[in-house]
Amino acid sequence: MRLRERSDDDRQRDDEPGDDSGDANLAQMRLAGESLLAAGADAIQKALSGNSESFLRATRQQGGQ
Amino acid sequence: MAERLMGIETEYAINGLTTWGGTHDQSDLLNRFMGVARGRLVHLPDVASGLFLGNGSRFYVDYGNHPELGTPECANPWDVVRYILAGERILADLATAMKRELAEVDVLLFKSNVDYGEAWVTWGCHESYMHRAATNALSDDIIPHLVTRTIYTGAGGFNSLSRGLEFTLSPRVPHLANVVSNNSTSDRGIFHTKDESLSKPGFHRLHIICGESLCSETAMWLKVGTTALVVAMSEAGLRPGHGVGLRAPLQAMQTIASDPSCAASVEMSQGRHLSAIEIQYHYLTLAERNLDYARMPSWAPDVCREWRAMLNRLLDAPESVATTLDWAIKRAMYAKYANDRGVDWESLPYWTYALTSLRHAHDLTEDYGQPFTADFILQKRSPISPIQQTVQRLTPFLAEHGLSWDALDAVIAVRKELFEVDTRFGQLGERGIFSSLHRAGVLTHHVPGVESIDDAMTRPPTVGRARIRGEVIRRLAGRSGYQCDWQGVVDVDLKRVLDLSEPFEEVERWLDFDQARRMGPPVFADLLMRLSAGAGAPTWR
Repeated sequence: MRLRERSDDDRQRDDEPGDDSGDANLAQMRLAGESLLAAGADAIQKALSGNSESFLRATRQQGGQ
Repeated sequence: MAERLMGIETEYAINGLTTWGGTHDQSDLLNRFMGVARGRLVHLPDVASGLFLGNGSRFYVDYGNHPELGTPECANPWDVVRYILAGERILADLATAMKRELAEVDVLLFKSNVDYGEAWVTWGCHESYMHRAATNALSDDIIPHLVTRTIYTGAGGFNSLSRGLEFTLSPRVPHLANVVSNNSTSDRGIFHTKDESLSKPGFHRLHIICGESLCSETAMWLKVGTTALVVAMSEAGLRPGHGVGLRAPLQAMQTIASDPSCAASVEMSQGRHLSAIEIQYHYLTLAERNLDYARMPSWAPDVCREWRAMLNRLLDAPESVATTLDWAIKRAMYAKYANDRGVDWESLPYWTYALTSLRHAHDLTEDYGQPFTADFILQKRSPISPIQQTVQRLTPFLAEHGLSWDALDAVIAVRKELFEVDTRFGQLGERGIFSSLHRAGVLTHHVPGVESIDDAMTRPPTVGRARIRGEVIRRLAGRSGYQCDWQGVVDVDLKRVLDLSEPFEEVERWLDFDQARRMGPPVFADLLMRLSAGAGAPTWR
């Protein structure tokens, strides 16, 4: 069993000296994360009712399966 | 011919919030909701009070007074996701249409897996996979997959049974009590033994109830795609679970659901330890080696490619899934929210311990009915008060972790707020948080090929019996005397049955009642018995 076998392993390529693609990916990932957090904060602010306890009580349900 | 068929049933929470701050009666709301559905949707009635729609899906009210949508039988994961999304657009449109029915009520629909209102309940998202494998082998083959796929199929959220604030990759997991069970309303198991084929003899239906409703297309697509491949490998006798049997599957699932790093290892039957990612690589590798096997579907290479890409991301750059997978999106957002509100996300385990202890003490006092607020907890009390004693006991514990009671008020508030946020994450329609993030273009969850959602709202899949069901419903909708079920449509007046007991049926074939009866009880007995129990239904004789 080859548990970590990876047919399209690109990790090694990313680690090669002089290769900027790893840094570029990291920067891109960081930018995407920052965008998500900014949009998320905005979406949460718009979604919250202002009285979460009351909301949770009002939306209490019987559930399902 | 389609190689495999699968589908998803999703239970949605529905609420009617009135403009004056109250809640509309749930039964009345559902009756009106179903009434609006009957008036607007192309359908035939099912044998109970639900509807089969022109796209081949089923819409009904299920146990627990909630609306539920079952997708039509689909032949590939792209269609499964399409029909889930189409169903949600249908529901959102109905909620909007309810405005004409109840102007003073805001109808909200939530794709939430648990209730945070201390009702301690869960909603299901059940998966069905048609197969021909022996059930006893299937459980061993698939349980390690179901336990470990959580790393990409988890909906994320909080443990709704906790009195603290515990983030989990899968809020459904605390509601699972067994490894194997035939129950779906309590004592739920990882593996559900129900095997109601809804087809003619020779076919089985694996019914999985440990999964969750999801918002990410990638997560939905991987969930059904990978699981269908494991079912296919089991059916082919490849024993995909061999070598990765878990010593304690339920505990392993709890461990994996509690570990956002996806690095935790769990004990195997033979005593060694493997991580969820390693176990998933095991299944993936076996699938890749058997792509040409006759039982494997034509889309298996696509699933394997994306499956491998996801595992590689989780292994090498787990932070990269924060814009793709439900649990990871939530975790990133919720941590920021808590931190911005002055509650360190990393301190939550300590606060969970403190809140749990305080709740326990609170319950022991005669003031257990009082609201659980920081002011109430921290007020001056007798030294023998359980609350006072607990506060004293916990003070050095909090200090040891750099925390103090000054933050208790914020912690209690953030707990409730994040519970509301998590409920609203999957709210259907434009007001849902996931929907907002999608529109903002900050997510990378879309699966190419999951397109034409509007078309899927009205048209059935192009293969399998769902195509015939949908086409017949579209043709006969509005006429009386017809009732529909998964494996047939009954024409009460002409005493005939459209035979859909063959999952891959390609021809519209009507049988008279005598012919249908000769097919034997397993096929139409249930359908016709239920019909004969209803008013005005045909007598099956």
